[in-house]
Amino acid sequence: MNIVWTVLGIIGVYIYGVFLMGLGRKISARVQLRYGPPVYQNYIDILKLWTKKTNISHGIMFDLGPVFLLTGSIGTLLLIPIAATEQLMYFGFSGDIIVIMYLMVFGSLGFALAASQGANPFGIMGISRALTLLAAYELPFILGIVILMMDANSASLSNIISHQAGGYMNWYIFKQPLAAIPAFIALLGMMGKQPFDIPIAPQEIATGPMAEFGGKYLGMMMSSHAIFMTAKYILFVNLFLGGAGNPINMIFKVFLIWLFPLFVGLVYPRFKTSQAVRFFWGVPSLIGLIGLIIHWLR
Amino acid sequence: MIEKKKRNIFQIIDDWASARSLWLLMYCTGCGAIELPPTMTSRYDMERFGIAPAGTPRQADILLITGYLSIKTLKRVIRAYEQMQSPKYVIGLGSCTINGGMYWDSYNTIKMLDLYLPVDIWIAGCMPRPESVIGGLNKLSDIIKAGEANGWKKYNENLKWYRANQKKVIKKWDLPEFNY
Amino acid sequence: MVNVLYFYAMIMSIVLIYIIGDISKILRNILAIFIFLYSLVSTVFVNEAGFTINVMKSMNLNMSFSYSGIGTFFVILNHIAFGVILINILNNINKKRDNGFLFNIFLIFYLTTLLFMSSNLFTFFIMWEFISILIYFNIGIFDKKENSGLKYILMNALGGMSLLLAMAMIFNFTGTLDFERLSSLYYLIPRSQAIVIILLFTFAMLIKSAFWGLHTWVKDAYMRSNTCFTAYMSSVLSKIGIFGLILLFYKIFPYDYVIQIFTFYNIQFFRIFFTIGGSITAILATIMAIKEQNVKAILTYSSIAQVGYIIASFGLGYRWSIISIMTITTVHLLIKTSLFSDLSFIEYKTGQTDGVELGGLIKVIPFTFVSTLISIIALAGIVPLMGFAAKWIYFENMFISGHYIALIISFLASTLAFLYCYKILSIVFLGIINEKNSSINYFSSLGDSIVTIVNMIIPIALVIFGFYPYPFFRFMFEKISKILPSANVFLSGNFIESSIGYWNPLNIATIVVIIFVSMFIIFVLLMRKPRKVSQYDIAMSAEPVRSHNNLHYVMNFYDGFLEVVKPITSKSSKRFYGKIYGFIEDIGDVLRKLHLNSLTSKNILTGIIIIVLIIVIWSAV
Repeated sequence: MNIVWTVLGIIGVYIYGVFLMGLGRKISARVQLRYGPPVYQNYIDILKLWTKKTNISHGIMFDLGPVFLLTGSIGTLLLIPIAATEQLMYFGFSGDIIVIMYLMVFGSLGFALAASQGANPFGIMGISRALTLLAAYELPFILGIVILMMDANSASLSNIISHQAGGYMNWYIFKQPLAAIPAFIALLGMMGKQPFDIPIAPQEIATGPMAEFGGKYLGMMMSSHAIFMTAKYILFVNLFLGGAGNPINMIFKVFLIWLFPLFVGLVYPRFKTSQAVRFFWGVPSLIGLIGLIIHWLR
Repeated sequence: MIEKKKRNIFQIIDDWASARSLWLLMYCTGCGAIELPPTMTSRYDMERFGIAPAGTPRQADILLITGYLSIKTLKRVIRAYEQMQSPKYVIGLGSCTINGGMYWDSYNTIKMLDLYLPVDIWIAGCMPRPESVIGGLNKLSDIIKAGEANGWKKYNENLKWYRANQKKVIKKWDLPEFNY
Repeated sequence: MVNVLYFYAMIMSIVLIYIIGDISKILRNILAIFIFLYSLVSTVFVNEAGFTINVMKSMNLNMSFSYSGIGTFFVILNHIAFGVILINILNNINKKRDNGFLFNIFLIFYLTTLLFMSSNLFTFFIMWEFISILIYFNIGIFDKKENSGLKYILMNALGGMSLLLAMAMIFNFTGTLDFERLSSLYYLIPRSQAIVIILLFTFAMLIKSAFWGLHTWVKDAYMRSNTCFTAYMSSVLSKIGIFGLILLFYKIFPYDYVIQIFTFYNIQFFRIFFTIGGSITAILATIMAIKEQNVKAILTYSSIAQVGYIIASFGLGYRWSIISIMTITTVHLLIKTSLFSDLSFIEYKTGQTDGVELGGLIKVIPFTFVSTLISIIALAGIVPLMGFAAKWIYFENMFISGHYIALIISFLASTLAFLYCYKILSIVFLGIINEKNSSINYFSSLGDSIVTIVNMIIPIALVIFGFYPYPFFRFMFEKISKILPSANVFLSGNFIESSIGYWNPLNIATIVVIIFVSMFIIFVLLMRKPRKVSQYDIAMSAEPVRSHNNLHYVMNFYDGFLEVVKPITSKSSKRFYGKIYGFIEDIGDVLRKLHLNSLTSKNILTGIIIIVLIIVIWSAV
């Protein structure tokens, strides 16, 4: 029975993630005074990519790339409690935050190998940018996480959630704003949306890591992105918005956080790689450090 | 020529999905390029039909050739086309691709694109306005939905004929044979 | 009895490899494997009291050796690493076999074993000096520049001197150098002298294990020596310093005493020094590794960075320090043995370690790729492999012991490690293959197959212990039970736990494997098969590309990142050390003039040496 719930949860997150991607396109179209594609456009895109008649492959690692990505995404999702109901906790009860943070890079690094074997210099360039960006936003993110760990005196995700019980003023986003600010700025980098879409950058390096992928590969990557993106939002809801008692609540909270990178992305143009690193290691990290010191002295 | 076959339900779904999600690879030569930005942006917004620009040939469905092709650029276009994944479609935009247009007596442009690549739909004009570009794309979408846009099959089946034509104009043929 | 046999094996092995080596390659390999297994069995699986060699009767100085807990653990690791490296040495050296090199590395191996077995400080010191000098010969053989050997011997002589001084002071106050007796006599040393002793000892060990600032000898020494020997230096010899620090913290003085002696104003300065210093070593070495494009240099800096984590572990606290140190040491030793062995195989096949000339080797040496890939994943600490267990213990306890700044620095360092980990795989195995390398014959001789099989042993062990680490931890607890009496401190059932969190390696590995296999079946086997294309058929430009040079992406790999860290990477200690070399050369110049210019000075020097020798022999008799 547990397995059925697990599969249902993965499928639900997948459908919701693809829906959010489509909705994002619609909203950004409206902001730019366009009509925009229908909200279900991304389902069609994925279907089309899956049903492409031919695909090309550069070798075994190239084939395994999307598999790595999906493994990383679904594995991360399974370690994060979706809702506090018994069925949707999965393995989240043992969700140590450091384990989650290391599992999160599993897929990306596996995919990096695939992009490398694609032998397209743009792909390798994109990966090198992506890894630089990862190192950049990891600093404010870990600062935020460490403050939360200090507050809850635990690295377990379920303990961090239970520390936020009892009203929205107990949520860490309000209780620990100096942890929330760097972490949410790091979220912008994690999402790879506009100011930090350095690794993709279609106008500069032709979609970077994805340059050599088409057909079913690209379809799987879009699917994986939908799951991984939603998993990250769910992680943030658990960390800062006090988790959720039921799936509906979680869907609503994820939607709220999802709006933040979307709107920031619509306003700001792209950074250079070095600018992004300087940005993340500058003000957000400083805020996090101040928060850490304040919490330490208290 | 390929006869129209009876499609099963999966093929119908395939075709419907392909028709509703068209990713463009724009090969912009000369004056054609200027008509595409308005097509994409707020004024005409082709994204409402699910048509979006693609980053590389690998991801693209449509090769949009906007204007004359010199012999030198034809080589690149052929290579880009062969790197695309089937099903793939070619659109000839503007009169130059149909009959040479104003370059009808030029010594180094090709006159009929149809001889070298299987064109699925022509959009005539010099230049066609964004309205007609979108009109053409929608027409292509309808053809795909009906399962009749089989240019890529035609190309695969008559590869020898196309190659002969291509080699006739491109004197220094150095395209690698690994493409197809 | 076994001990005597062990030394027979040592002498026999050297002689046999000398003689038989020239006759048959297969016989040599079989012999090497046999010697390796024999010495492993005789040291590890036979528990017996140690033995003593009397050196100076008059001063009661003994060279005594015994099998004791941690030492035995290090001896086992030493044998595993050396066994793998030996096979690589015998098969991966292109030029005519160098018997001197082989003899040398055998000697270093046995001396290292004896060092880990030493049961008093005198023995430790003698072995330490022997090893230092032998390494110098080894760097000297393969060195073209004079400087690397000089740098190395200079730094290590400094370390040796301070170790000698510390030893003399300990002997002065307690009258013994035996670890067993020292642990109950340490209080005889006055506080201020104890501080000096600890500082001198720590300094010596930090030089050996390449603490940042004292690491300047490492790069040249690693780069200039044979890659197989670099493997041994990186995996085992860098752990000598760590072993010395363990002796200081757990055998000579009690851990709490060392920490308490450096506590002023309620701040435990020694712990802060170790955690922050180790983390800074880790992050700076990682940044330098990212900058390099020679694979050997990347691995060299990576080695410094990993030892940085181990040094930082000394500040975690009495119980967790030793657990973290032993875990990271084991993991790092295995990984570096594997990576450098693979690199030596690559160097043997292609003649290169520079990333510019490599690339795309997955097509010609796929098994080496698999072995490197697994080791790299473990090095990066990605979840289902063994590297993560070490990282997790380190981070959790860094948090528990309250070193938040060091935690953040080392977390950033371990994130930055992904950058060079990916770079190694990308520039060596993936990308476009060099035309020169495309005709490599993987199994051109029997030796190649043996090397390939042996190099797969460690990655397989990393995977198995990543999925099921409990036997390893139990074995480790058994070995350190003298220091840490209560075994199994953080294992409960299948969970690994600390006071703030817990996780289940088997559980996570199962999840990952199940998802991976099911996705593999869906994606690769069930969906439409792709068409294989050649490596130059890429969608970069419509113009066909036909050359390795045009597409292989190595230069300025992390351009944007390096632009940011330029203030760190551009600083060089070369000028500072250059001045020191100049100064020492000047002194040497004066001595040489003294020596050569007059006959009397020559006679005086010779006389002094003879007198010293007579004194030594007289006291020994």
